[in-house]
Amino acid sequence: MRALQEELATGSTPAPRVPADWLAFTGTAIIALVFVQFATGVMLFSYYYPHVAKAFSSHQAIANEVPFGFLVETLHAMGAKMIVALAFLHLFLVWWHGSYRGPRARIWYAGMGLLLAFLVTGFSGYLLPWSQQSFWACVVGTEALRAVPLIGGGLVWLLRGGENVGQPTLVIFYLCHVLFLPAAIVTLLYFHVKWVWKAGVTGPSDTTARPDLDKCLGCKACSLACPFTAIQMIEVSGRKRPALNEDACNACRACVILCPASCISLRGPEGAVRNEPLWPHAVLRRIMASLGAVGLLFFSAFFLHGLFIAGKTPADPLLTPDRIKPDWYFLAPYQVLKVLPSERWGLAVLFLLTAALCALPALDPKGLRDPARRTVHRFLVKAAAAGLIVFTIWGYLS
Amino acid sequence: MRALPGKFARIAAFVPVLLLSLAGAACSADSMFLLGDACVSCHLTCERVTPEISVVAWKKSVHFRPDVTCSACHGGDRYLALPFKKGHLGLPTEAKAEASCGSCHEKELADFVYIRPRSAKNGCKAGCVSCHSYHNVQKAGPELVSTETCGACHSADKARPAIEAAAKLRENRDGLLALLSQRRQAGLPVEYYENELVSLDKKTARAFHASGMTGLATALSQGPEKEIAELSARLAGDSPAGFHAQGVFVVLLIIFALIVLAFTFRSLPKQGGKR
Repeated sequence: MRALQEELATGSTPAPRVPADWLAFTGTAIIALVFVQFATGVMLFSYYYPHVAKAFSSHQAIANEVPFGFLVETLHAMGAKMIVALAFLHLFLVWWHGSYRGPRARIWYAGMGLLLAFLVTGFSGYLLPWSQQSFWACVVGTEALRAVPLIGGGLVWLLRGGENVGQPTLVIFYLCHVLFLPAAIVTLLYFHVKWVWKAGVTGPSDTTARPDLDKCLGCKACSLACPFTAIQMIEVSGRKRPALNEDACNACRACVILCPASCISLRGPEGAVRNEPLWPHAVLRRIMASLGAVGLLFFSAFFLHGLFIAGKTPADPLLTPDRIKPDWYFLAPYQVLKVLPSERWGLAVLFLLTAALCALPALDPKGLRDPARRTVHRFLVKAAAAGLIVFTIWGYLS
Repeated sequence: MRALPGKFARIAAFVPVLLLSLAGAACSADSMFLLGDACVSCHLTCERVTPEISVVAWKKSVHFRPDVTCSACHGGDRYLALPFKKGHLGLPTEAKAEASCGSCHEKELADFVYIRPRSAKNGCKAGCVSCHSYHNVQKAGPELVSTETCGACHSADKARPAIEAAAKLRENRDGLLALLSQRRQAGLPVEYYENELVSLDKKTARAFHASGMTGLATALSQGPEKEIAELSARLAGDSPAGFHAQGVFVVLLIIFALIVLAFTFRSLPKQGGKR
């Protein structure tokens, strides 16, 4: 706590330069929404009954008879959708700005783990109301795993607790949703935030570190600190001075933080990047971003729930509905599986894309960071974002 | 009635029933169950019951379904035009008609017949069909209590309190349904109120069956009327407008907090930070 207070009192972070920089606070907004999910989840947990004969009616009872039950249930459902949307936005922003390299690689890995945990939590929670939509989305979603070579059948059996979706499936999904996945999310979140705190907020992607040679002591701390070997010490007038390779610098601020003479700052095309204190400036920005996200969630829950949450009928294993659709964040993979010639191909493509994204720090460990100077990088990020949007809309309409 | 050979009856029944079924199929596939029905084939074409044609009247009723065909009340077999001695009852007696009704509506019959038995001095002389009709049976509700229905047996003075009470109940129930419809359109959960309404309808039916004409008004005002008023009050308090008003309050509160934070932020010094 003392270290935290000291860091808040003395630390600083690059201040947002343009209105779009407020998107950088998606991470804090996600944390705020996770808190809301936990709070609403505890309330739902108290009244929900994980049995096939009672799950639907207990879910209806929460909406109809528990005080504020409908609001809590809607906040929980809408919150899940918003968390995944913000998580994707956060991912694309970090990817765009190249903030996954060097000391931030482990932050990226934890972040990808969090994204996958959010997706699986959403999938498991989708089944719990035991409605027609939930049941059949689970049937289709779990059945897709059968295409995995060698172990597909076993995987499906394990996940469902049997050959068909039934009571064991509900119990497995319930345990995952209320116990294992929240524990995983809390653990990953803890390490993710801790490592972000340790590494510091990365500088803007069009900036590089610039040492002030007049103040420099020649201690080589910056050269030793730099994970990208962007700073080399050279002899200038009989003294060691840092020489920066701007193309290699990733503005990670390791040298800025560790320089004992505070002679290094981030500089961009328009000059030095302004820093602001952690307290109260950066903290206030984050509180405002969180409040904005929570406000949007409440607005959606009160006024837009009809758009995003369909009416429910009890699950009927003997009656297949006409249109079985997963929640919005699975529409894109769902459409990929439908478009490709076989499910095995579809699963392979999805697996490779996910693996490539997870392994991004290993595939792109160093080099230029400014997106304006990286054509292939810009193309990849935009193609991925566009692909996600197009396939999601296509999956919704098909 | 002379029985036709079974096979010929089935074939002969096919044509008019097919015509009736095709007409019905334009509106509902349920009428396909009439194919092969021997009763319909005769009684649709050589009708003796006036003023309404029994089959056409039955087709408009809530009993137009596979498990309540002619043989349910008139005996016999719907596929074999059987004579009287082989089970066809023709026009059933009052007692047999009530027994037919009670085979499905057991509780209602118990309320009506056993609580106020016909043999008692003040027992009701009417049967089920007196109020509910025999072929054109419609969904039971307060609208059945009318001058037309009650006036067949009771004087206007005696029937008036019950008719007025039933009319008031109907009006309040319609109001409740309108509130429920608003809630449903707003996307809010309605299952609790729908379940309560089903329970209320059952209690209303019981009040009708178990009370005499003189006691009906009191039974309605002390039971269903009160419950409808309570349910309406709860629904009015739980209205979409109320829910949205809560939403406006919460969202405005958050916006206010954001504005306060924004002003606080603007008042902070811009420069800062040592590193």
